[in-house]
Amino acid sequence: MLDRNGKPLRWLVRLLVLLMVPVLATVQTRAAEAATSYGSVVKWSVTQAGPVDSNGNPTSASGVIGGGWDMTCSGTAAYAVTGTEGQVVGKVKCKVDVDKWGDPDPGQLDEGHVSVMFKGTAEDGGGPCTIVGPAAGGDVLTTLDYASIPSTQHCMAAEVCVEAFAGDSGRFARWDGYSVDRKCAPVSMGEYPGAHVDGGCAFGTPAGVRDVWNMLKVEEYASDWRMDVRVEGVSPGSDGPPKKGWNIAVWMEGTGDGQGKPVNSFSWPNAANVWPDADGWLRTDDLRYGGYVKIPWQEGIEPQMKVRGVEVYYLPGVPVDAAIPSSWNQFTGNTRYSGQIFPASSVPTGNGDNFGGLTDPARCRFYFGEKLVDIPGTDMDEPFGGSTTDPTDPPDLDPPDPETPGGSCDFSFLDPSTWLTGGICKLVGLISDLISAVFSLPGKIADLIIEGIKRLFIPHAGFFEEQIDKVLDAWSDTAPGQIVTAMAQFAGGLTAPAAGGCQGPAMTVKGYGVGGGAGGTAELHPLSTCGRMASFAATAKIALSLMIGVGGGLAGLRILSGALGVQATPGGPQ
Amino acid sequence: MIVEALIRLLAAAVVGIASLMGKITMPSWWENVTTWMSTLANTGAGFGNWIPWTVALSAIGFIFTCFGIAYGIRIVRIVLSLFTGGGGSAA
Repeated sequence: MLDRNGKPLRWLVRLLVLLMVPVLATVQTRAAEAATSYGSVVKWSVTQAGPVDSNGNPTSASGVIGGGWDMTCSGTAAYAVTGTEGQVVGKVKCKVDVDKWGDPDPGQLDEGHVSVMFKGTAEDGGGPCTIVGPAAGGDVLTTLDYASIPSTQHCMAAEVCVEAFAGDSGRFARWDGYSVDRKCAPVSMGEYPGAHVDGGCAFGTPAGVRDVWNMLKVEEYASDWRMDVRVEGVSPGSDGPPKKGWNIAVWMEGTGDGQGKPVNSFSWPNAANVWPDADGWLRTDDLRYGGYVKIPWQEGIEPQMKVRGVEVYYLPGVPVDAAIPSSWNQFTGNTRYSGQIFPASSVPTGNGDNFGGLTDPARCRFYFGEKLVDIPGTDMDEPFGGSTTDPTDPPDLDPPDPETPGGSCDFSFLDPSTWLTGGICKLVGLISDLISAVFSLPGKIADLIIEGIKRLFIPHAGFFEEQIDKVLDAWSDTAPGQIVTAMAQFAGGLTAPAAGGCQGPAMTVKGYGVGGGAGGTAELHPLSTCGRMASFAATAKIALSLMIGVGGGLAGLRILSGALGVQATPGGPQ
Repeated sequence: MIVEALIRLLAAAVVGIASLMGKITMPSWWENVTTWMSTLANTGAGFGNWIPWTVALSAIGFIFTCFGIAYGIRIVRIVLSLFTGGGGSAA
């Protein structure tokens, strides 16, 4: 492991770096996966039958394989949102039957593909949009399994179309025939999951000024319009709430007005450092770093009133607080730095600073604000700190296999035309069922045997407890049981004598001359440990403890071994 | 069912043997044992500096426990010996 310079540390570092690469890649992948949320899965299917005449018989047409073919497709689709990027994920399975119409090369198609397209309207109200998926070629009977269809705009899909192409070529690359057909089906994809969380009407500062940006989110909250505004400032070496001189104006408009009009504007803060409460319906006294204001819905405002825009701008002429970072002072003069949430098609031009997210007022919860500044390692550039929606597992998008067109087992005794095709189909089905039943027999028999063995050898729940209770009841009624019970009570009643003082038990001596006179008494304490005898008594107590402990242990061992038929004695077997 | 039958048979044998043992009536003085023990404990209170009463009582309890376990083992052996033709009997 040494290099030419004999520096093992360098090799060790290289080894660690090599080891870290897959780890970091895994972590990054997991992080990317965790940020993806999915909408509900939509299942759809389309069926396109080939041309038939008035009698229901396949008709022929020039230029196609025998005249046409049947197509049956089924699929699943769901929205997936990663960050602010919306995607459509899903799978498509198609089966195309050409034999019915006289394929010159039955059972084998030489060329074909299936492609899928979602059509809908842009979420920002910008008109029709399409999401074109990939195509699977080579064999139209294949499964079109598309992992995702990235979409730069958020297309609210309303219809899915499947286009199949089938062709059969002869020798020398000569087409014997081909056919292209398309079939569409309505789908209801619902809302973009988590979009209202990941988005936000981010808007910010003029190009080239990256020190300050502002973010807001407008959403319909119950019967209220709730506007969450977060004004954040970041400048080199300074990070804090905006100070004096900032204004927030809320622009609203009525449907059909076409002209944004300020319905209210506020200068923050005033001398008392609170929001002006001029009309009493919008008030906050603490719009600061991460703060928000709420606009309640109230009478007097048109039901169709829409939040048209929000501006955060520096009011010229207001003294700048000394605490404002110097970079903020760039916002002077007459420049307004506005974040409009107008539809993209009607964003006013002129100030050139509109970074507003797109919005359809009918779905005002959907915002996919443009990310202005990407600062790794911080959520300052994420509206409201990023997603609060729990990531969901990828949905199961595997669609069911579509039935083969024309492959039904329609059989009727009254219809001789079905005796051949339908009859054979029924017969094959019966034989198949019979074979399946026969082959499934061993498995069922094995399951029954295993179940029987289990019942034979595994007692039912609570069985052991029942039997033990019976035995204990019988034992407690016997003479030994009574003795054991009495002994247990006796042992439980044993209490250690109190320690007492150091004088020990008293002994009264009575006799002549004792106590200073005839017939006097004197109290002696021969086991006193109050004096020099204390050490001797402690030593004797320890010795006795050892003797009793070891003796008791040996006695118990002898008792137990005797019960097992072994005579355990200190000297070995006698 | 097989295991259940075997355990039922074993339990029935134990219960049957236990029923043959009969009952005894504990002597009346046994009811005063607790009082005696209390008196004895008071008498020995002064000897606490010389005699490790706690260790002694623990040893006595241990020995009684061993007797109880030994009785149980013997009974199980007796019952099992019924199935071994008397082999291993602790009777």
